[in-house]
Amino acid sequence: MNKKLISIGFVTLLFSVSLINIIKPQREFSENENRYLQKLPKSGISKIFSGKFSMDFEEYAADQFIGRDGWITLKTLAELAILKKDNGRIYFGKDGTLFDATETVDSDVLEDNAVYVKNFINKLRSKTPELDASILLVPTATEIYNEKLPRFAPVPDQQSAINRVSKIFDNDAILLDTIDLLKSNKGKYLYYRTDHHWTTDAAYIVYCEWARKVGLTPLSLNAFSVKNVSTAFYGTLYSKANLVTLKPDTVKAYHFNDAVSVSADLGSGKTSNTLYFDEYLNKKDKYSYFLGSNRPLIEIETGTKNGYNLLLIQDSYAHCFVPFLTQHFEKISVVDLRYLTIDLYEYAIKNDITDVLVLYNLPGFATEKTISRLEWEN
Amino acid sequence: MVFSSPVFLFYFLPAVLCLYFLVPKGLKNTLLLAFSLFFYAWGEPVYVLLMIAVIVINYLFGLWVSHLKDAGRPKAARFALIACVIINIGILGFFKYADFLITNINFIPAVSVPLLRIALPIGISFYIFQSLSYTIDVYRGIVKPQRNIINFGTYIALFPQLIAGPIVQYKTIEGQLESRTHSYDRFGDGVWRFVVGLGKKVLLANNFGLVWDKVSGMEASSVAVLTSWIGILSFAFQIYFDFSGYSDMAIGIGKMFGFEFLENFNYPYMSKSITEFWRRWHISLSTWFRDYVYIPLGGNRRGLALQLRNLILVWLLTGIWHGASWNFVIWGLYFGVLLILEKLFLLKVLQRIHKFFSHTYTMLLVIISWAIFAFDSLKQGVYFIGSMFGVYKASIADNVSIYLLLTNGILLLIGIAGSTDYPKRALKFLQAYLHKKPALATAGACVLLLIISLLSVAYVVDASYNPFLYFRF
Repeated sequence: MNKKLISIGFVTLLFSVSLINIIKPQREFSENENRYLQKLPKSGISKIFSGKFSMDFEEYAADQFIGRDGWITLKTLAELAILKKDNGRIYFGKDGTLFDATETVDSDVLEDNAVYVKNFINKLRSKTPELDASILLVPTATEIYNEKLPRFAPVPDQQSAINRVSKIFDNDAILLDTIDLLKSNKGKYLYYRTDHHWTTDAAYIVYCEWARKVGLTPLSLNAFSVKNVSTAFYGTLYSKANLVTLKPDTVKAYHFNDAVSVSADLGSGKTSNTLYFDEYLNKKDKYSYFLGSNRPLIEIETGTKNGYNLLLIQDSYAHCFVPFLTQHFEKISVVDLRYLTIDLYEYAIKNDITDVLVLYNLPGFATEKTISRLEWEN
Repeated sequence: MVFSSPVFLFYFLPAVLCLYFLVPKGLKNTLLLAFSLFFYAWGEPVYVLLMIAVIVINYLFGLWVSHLKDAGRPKAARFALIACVIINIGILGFFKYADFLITNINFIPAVSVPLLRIALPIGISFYIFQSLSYTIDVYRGIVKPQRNIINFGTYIALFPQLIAGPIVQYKTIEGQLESRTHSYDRFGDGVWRFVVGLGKKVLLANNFGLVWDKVSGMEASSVAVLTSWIGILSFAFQIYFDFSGYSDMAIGIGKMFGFEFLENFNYPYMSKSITEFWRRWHISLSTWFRDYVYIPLGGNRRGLALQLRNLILVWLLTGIWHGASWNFVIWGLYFGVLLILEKLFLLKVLQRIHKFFSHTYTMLLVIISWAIFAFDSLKQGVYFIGSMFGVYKASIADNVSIYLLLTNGILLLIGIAGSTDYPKRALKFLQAYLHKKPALATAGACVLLLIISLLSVAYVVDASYNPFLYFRF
């Protein structure tokens, strides 16, 4: 063995990579990982002695490493090659489908949350006896497409979670079991392969069933023109996968054929006359095309004059669902409890709420710690 | 700073290599000392002062002890040595064991001493033990006192073995500190050792660590038996590949700078008795305890009863050396008892039975010891051992175990093969086979090194999981 060659080869490689790392320009943001990268930290006596400088510098050295995306893809490929099927954050399913590997159902949180919702509805009903209330807990892809999961991958049992909740609500609210409904439509494109949300197609299927259950007439497909607004959507799961060879998703929108006027008050002085935010189609987070980013309260005035006012307590799963509601309600108040800081009961009374819909993804609802804010009082 | 980070690999290492070979011979140790202090200060910007103090104290004591000896005052020299040992053990005791002691004193009713909450200086157990080996050997006349504080500082602070060993005894590198040769042969061997060690750490140990973290985070009473075994096997492989990987990297970097350290691991998982295991596992630690505790106490020369006392004492200390916590005490005593049993009669039995049984016996006991080692809380460790043997109502295997087995089966097979000497023997065989085609042998070695390096860099760049296991040592 020629050890001189090995020595020189090693030193040459070491020095070239090191030199390239030093002279290459810094990157601000990683589209691939969807996060800001650490830049060269500034030094200072206190930062050095607290060890903060060293820690930031170590992060900088890893974040600004030449060809970072390629390296981390190589790592993922190496793991897939030895038959690993997850990276602790996501499962690598069949056909390039990614699943969230961190989903859980916390039975205690789930039951507490169901009780918070039930109490809130009953409190409102004592003031507004004719109030209509419904609950939509949407299963995630791990439940509907479980055959695409890696074999034996442990995921929470969402069906038994729904059954638990339905016992709690009894007759206080309409609870839709959407698992069978979505499973019977499996052939359709129900979940993004690279994002943790459901697709607009899935939202439309559930909307039709929900409308029938609550006594509304669902709008038929003829009322819409369905458009692919983006065919290059790399979602949140993609950002955790570190595998650049994955194929992008398509984002669909169901636009009404007849022009409908909406005006939305987004809070903090912002308004909008559409529920679709085109600017996000050029950004990483294309799901935010629907209703924009997460906000505590969005108040939507629709052109429909029927006196029905909906309070929609939701997470981002509802964002692509909201447009379907505009033909059925005069006013829709979209509330995100994670950011809310008001007494929601008082708000509902003041705004003549006639209908309540709670829409969450199921594992989200079963781990969310902010549902208790329904009990907030001023 | 850890070896498996971009900062070390692509900032620190090129800088120190480049300057080391540029400066003249007389400045090489000064440069190594400066970089070693920087290396330590990077992670411990304050405790580097403690390390400098340890260097100065032991340097002075070395000179003093030898001066007293030369002046024909052996009693005074002995006194100076004892003072030096007390100071070193005092430093170690204060920074490592004070809060452990206080916690235990507080169990006495009506006693409540506030905790000091001292952060443990990384590597303190390694450099204190190195310092002690120096002064004791000066006293014993085995080594000459080091008059050059730069050389002495280089010995204590030398960054390759600073934070995770091996514990280099002064006598083994006394001559190398003064003069050592640098050659492509040695450097090339160093590269090989370093890359293999890096691969062991980031490709194997970290991946096993992920499996262990997942399993150890589960509720022990509901974990299936198979899951527990996958978990504890993963921990056994994590700690072996991590620790021996660090030693390989230390030995490799040492070689690049012309040093030859002694081996620290010798395929411990191939052992056929616990006695043999401890001759192959963390060799520098057991050698240290043998030379500086066991033999001075009389070793095996003063009758069986005293020998047993000495063994128990040494293993008690070995246990607590690994961390200030009761599980390490129990872990050490567990091995002490096993070693005594082997000494008394078991070893003779083990030598007579088929090696399959002696190997199974050894690994089973070593794996159980890891369950004690891995959990700070003894209770948790006992629960975990219970789950390994199906004490609870949990099943033999469930979906989680099958998933873990399917997705980590290959990794476990690599771990099993990698902890034997078969890969090394295969390489040796290939080398002999390619004896007449040296170019092919070199090309093969380069390709292998390149693959390990590229994969390791890929893991190092995505630094999402890179634990340092020795923060308690």
